[in-house]
Amino acid sequence: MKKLFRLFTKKENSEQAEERPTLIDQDLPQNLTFIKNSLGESTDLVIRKFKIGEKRTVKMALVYTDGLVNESTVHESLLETLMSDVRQTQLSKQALDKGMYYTVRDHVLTIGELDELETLDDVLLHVLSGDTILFLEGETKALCVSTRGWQDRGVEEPSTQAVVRGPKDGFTETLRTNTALLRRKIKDPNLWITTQAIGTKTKTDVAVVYMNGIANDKIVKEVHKRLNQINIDSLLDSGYVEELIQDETYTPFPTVYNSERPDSIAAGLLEGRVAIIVDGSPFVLLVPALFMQFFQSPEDYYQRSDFATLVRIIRFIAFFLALLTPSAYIALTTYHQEMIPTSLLINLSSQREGVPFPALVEALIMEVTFEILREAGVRLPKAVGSAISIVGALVLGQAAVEAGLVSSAMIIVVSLTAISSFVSPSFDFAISIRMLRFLFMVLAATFGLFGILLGLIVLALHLASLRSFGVPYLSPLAPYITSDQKDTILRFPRWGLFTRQRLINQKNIDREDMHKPTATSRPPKGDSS
Amino acid sequence: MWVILYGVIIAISWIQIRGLWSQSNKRDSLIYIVTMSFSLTILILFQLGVPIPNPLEWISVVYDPVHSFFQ
Amino acid sequence: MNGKEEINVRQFMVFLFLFVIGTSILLSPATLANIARESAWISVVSALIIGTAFILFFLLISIWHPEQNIVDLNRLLFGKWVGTVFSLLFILFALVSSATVLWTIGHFMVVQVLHETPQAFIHILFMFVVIYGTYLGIETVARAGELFFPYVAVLLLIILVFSIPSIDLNYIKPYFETGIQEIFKGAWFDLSVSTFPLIVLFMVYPKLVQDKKKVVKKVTLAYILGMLTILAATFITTSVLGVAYISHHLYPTYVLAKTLNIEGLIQRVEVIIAVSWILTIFFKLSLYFYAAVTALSQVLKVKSYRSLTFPLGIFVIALSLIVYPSSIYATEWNETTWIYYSATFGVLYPLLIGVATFIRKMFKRS
Repeated sequence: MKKLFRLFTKKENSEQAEERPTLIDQDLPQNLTFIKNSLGESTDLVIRKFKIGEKRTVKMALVYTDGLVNESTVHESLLETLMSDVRQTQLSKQALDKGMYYTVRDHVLTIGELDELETLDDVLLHVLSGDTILFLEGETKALCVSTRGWQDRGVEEPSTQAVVRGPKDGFTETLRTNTALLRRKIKDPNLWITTQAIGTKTKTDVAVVYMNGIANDKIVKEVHKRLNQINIDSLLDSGYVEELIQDETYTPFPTVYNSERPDSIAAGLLEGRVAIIVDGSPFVLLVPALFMQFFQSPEDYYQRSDFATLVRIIRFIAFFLALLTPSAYIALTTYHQEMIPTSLLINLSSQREGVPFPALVEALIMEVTFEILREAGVRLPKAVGSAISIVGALVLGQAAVEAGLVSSAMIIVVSLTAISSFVSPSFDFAISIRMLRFLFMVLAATFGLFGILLGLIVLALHLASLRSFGVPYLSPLAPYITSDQKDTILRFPRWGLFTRQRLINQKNIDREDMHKPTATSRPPKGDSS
Repeated sequence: MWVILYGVIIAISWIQIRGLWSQSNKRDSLIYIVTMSFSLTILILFQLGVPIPNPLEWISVVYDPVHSFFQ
Repeated sequence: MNGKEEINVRQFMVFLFLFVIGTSILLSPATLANIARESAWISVVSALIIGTAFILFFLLISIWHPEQNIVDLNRLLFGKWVGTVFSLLFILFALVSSATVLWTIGHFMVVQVLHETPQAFIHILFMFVVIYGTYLGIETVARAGELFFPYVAVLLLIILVFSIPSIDLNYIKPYFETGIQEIFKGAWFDLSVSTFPLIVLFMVYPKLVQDKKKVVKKVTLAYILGMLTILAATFITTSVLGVAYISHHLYPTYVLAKTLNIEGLIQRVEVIIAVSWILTIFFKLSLYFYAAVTALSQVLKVKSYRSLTFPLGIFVIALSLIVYPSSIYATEWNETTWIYYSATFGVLYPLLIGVATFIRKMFKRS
């Protein structure tokens, strides 16, 4: 009952606050007490009171959160200018007449980003975002100075999606840094960034980035619409946003692409996709995300095209290996022994002779063991990691065979599956394969290859029914679009990639002229000798 | 096996009928229930080994004169 | 009906191709060898020629009525009561076809691959996949078709091409021995399996014909390609295995794949033919079933055909378990009743529509 009552009053309070925001009072101490009380006298709040003016008559106060501001900026650009420099400079009478507030605003502050606030709620939000607020006695406005500067990780090499060749910078947890990384790659006025705060408690900044004129307006609008529909108290990672804006919840496949690599996101933007950057997360989202995108690595575009094509085909094979090897093993050994060449069959059955379990149980034991090992490997401290891998590989693998629990062919199957599932450049995608593998194993154990095939049909149907922001997930394979095949499984040479994907941006398809280098543009042959 | 199958069928039907009903689509859910119970009855009768008339026989009866005519 | 769903010409072509080769690629060679003996392939050639004319006629109807599917047409041309009766007969046809196709795949699996699994469970599993696909919509099934089409085409091509070296032309001699009547009968059978049931595609995409000339050309091409595949399969199985051998087998193409052996490298590839056959059957069955479900939902004026998918799917499973008591019954029924039953809907019925349209037009003009 009490709880209910509290809930009720809380709701009423918040409604009131929305209707009538607390305005800044002329009385300086009252404002400061309000801020202190609102933050519950939190210890990281810094309030510095001082007086300025020729005769030190004007009371001022400076409010900021310790740790979120750049201390040197606050000291040098605010305190020093206000308290000492002002007195040394000669300001015209005209300027002084307008009042101290305007003098400070227009002539004194040596800081770029400046804002005026009228309500104390705004003041609180900005203080907590790392801005410094200047109060003047007798004014109903406060100056908000951008002094954001906190400890962050700095631009480092991304830990996921590693490449051999290509840029090594990665996104960080700070939104500004991330947008700057994109701006550094695309110096075009059409790179538009709009930011909004999401999360009633966390007030996380979420930026929508797109290339105006290339991105499909419908998709941009749809992204904004879905972001506006989010009604959640906290937003701690881009994973939250991904889950809230994806088209289909009940699917193992990711319909939103994420990357830690600015080059990957920049390439996506230039293809007409829309990026969503969430403050506090180094993983930037990219929509629409298509099935084939998860087989492509940014590196494909830095390597030679023929090699990139080969690698993509290998990834495709690895996808099927990771998905189907255990189930194919089960189906073949249980139902379709006649399909195995005789000599191999004899080997296999002599190995399986001592194994007490049916193939399904054998495969399940090993696959689950491996999943446990992998999960443990992620969490384990680095020092213990190598010890565990020895236990996993040698003890579990070899000893299990010697103890007669599983056949050694099974070990090969499991290792092949494990290695193949790491080939996909996207970690999210590998997860979906890991989950589906078990379903296929059960199907194989009950209906053999027929079950696997039906499973594949269901998988294809499911994938074909998915959409990512209105774009069919399987395009350009189904619906088949001939002009997009040059960058799907194949990767044409750069001069061949003259159009963008048709379904993603429907209006501005042509890329800039990318002619094949002609003979005249090459240096004449005889020159070098 | 059959019991599991019936369980699955009834569970899916239940979800779908509830979905239809909540859309205040009473006519459709009634059609659903009628067709489903009809289909399920045949399936259960088959499983119990009760002889069920084969519709192909009826079609054959209709087309027998045609067949003998062409022969 | 869900008006939003649309498939493009390419997807329709894939459907048509898969539908045409669907059951025939495995069933036709044996039955044709029984009827027309050594001239089986001549039967297919004549079926190809007659069938192309039929396809053009079907397309003509869809050009006349670009916005109406079968149920709309029935109501428009034959009035409310007669039209509804026609629609119900059409639905029965689609349901019976679904059930027989489902039985065919179940029987094939039990006889050739999964000897110990009860046939009923294969029916149930397969039909659940079809129900799922139909529930997701014809657009989704069409995309899946596009995805699988290259595999089906390439796999079949591999089997057929690699069988060419073992062709023995003596097996197909003498030509025309059985007489024109038997050849025509064979052609009729092939048409009744591959071409006449194409009428159900009207249910799928009545709005197909927009860019008329191009569509006619493309759809006809897809049909001819499908029939050529059957022709190749019939010709090669007859000339490799011999009439005497294949007329005793239900699935000679499967046997052909079994005997294929290229330098010891490629052997025992019958699973390939099984895979591509299951895929084509899946699409054929989905189209039959989709036609039945959408037509019934239109007749009953149900808001979304999706709500009928599951009950009707269970009905098809039940029906498939009782339609054919045995494979002998199946063969006999196919040869004595199916050919007429299918022709009623594939020949008589379109002709009726054509005549009715013609009369209506005359009536309007005067």
